[in-house]
Amino acid sequence: MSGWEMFTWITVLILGVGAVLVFMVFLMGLPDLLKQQDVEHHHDKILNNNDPATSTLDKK
Amino acid sequence: MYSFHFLDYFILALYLIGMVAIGVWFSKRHKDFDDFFLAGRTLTTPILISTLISTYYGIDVLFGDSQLAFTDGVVAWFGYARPTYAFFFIAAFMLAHRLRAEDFRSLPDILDRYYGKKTRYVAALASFFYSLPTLSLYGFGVLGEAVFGWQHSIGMLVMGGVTLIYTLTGGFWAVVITDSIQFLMMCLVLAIATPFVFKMVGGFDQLIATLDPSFFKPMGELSIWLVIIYASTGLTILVEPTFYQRIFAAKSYKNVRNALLIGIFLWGSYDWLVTILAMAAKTGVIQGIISPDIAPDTSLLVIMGVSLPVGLLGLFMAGVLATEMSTLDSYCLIAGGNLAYDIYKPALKPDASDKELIEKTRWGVGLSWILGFIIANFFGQMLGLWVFMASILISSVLIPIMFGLFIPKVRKTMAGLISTAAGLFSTIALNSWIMIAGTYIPEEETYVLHIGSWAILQEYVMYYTVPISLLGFIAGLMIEKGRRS
Repeated sequence: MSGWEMFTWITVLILGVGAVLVFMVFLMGLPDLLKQQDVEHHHDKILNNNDPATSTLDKK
Repeated sequence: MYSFHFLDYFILALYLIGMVAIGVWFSKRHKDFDDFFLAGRTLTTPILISTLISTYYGIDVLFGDSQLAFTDGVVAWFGYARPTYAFFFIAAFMLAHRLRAEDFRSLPDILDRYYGKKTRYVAALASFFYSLPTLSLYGFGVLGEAVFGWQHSIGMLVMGGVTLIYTLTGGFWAVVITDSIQFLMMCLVLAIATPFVFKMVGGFDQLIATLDPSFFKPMGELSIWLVIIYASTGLTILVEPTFYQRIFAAKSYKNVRNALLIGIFLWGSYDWLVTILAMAAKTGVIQGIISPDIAPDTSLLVIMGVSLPVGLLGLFMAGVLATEMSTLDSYCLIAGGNLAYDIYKPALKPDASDKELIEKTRWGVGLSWILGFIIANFFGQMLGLWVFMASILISSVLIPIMFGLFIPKVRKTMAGLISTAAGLFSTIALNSWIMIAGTYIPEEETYVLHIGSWAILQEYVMYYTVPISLLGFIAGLMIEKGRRS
């Protein structure tokens, strides 16, 4: 097996396994991320009384 | 046209419906503008890896890399792709930290803070023009024709339309979540397809035995100057608005740094496989497996079409669609934000509410899509346009942003304004001049303008306009100094 071929199979491994691992970690963190968005959404509604005229950009 | 099985169509349809469903699901969940435009600044490392990689790779990179590999070999990776990773490395350790330290939301935001509102507007215009999804839509037109036999405009409307729907409804949340799925499809399909392609051409050894030895020279037959010019295209990452948006949307600097460092390995692997598969396509042509009439930039599509079994071909095509959709959605959103957040709010309605700003951003997304569609349908010189658009942002904002970020004492209003405006207008003027007065050279696929014995190629425009922007910056500093004294 030439060096070029070996390098190619290493990149296949990095790309294939790497992409699956990254996606699995993303999936594992997704419920927390969405839950956090829900909590912030609810919290924000209470704080601003959901006033559409309120700009959060100017407050920050 | 490809011969698709029902299963391939089913996979493609499922993918497109899934993308729209994600956009619709997020449509009612935005609590403020930060949530719509920056996903609430909550992006973690895996999402950042996915969205950075999938956004950076469009069909132009996929086809551009494979074209160079098909004609010249491994130099496509060593000379063209690899230097880009050095810029990602610089971005990870020098740029991201500074950008994340301040509460920016967009690239023109930075220029506003350092040089004032006028510079912001010029940069917003340059960014809007740069982000028009013309090339992505054009790519969908070409893909629709090559794969399904559709007219150009039908491909743009169907595939570009799906992307528009989920971007309009779901904002940046939909963009990054779809990017994560698109990232998996792009990478996994390429990795799975590799053994099938090698099997088709008779193994990897056949590449070495069949191709000219120059195909395996790391710097190939290209001159050192051409390699330097190819490598310098990586500079765009230093002012890339979609890249900046992801840095601003990250949970912390550490997430960005880790994503870039891990991403470099995935980027490198992806580029290498595109390179080697295009070389396998060249081997297939020499062996007589593939027609010798194929266009070099479609070599990857062709070799996949003849190598992949039913189901996997549909997955590959969905992966190619994913490559372009993940680029189109991000640029549409950036262009919408340029109009709403960078121009409308500061210039016309400073007290605009978040709800109003989200609505205006959606209008901006729609407008950018329509403008991109019109240009892609009615402007014949796409390659010239591509060079024009690629040079416009780097020429306008590279100098003021780098100076502003790293040398605080040169943050002078006139320096930023003259530099940005000089870069923008010189790019428009020089590109227009070359495309109108110059001649098109089909072999070089570019325009060239002869002034006496001096020849200016359109690709080299930024080597004139960036120094003009630098001169503008120095002139602005001198004006400010004169005013003070």
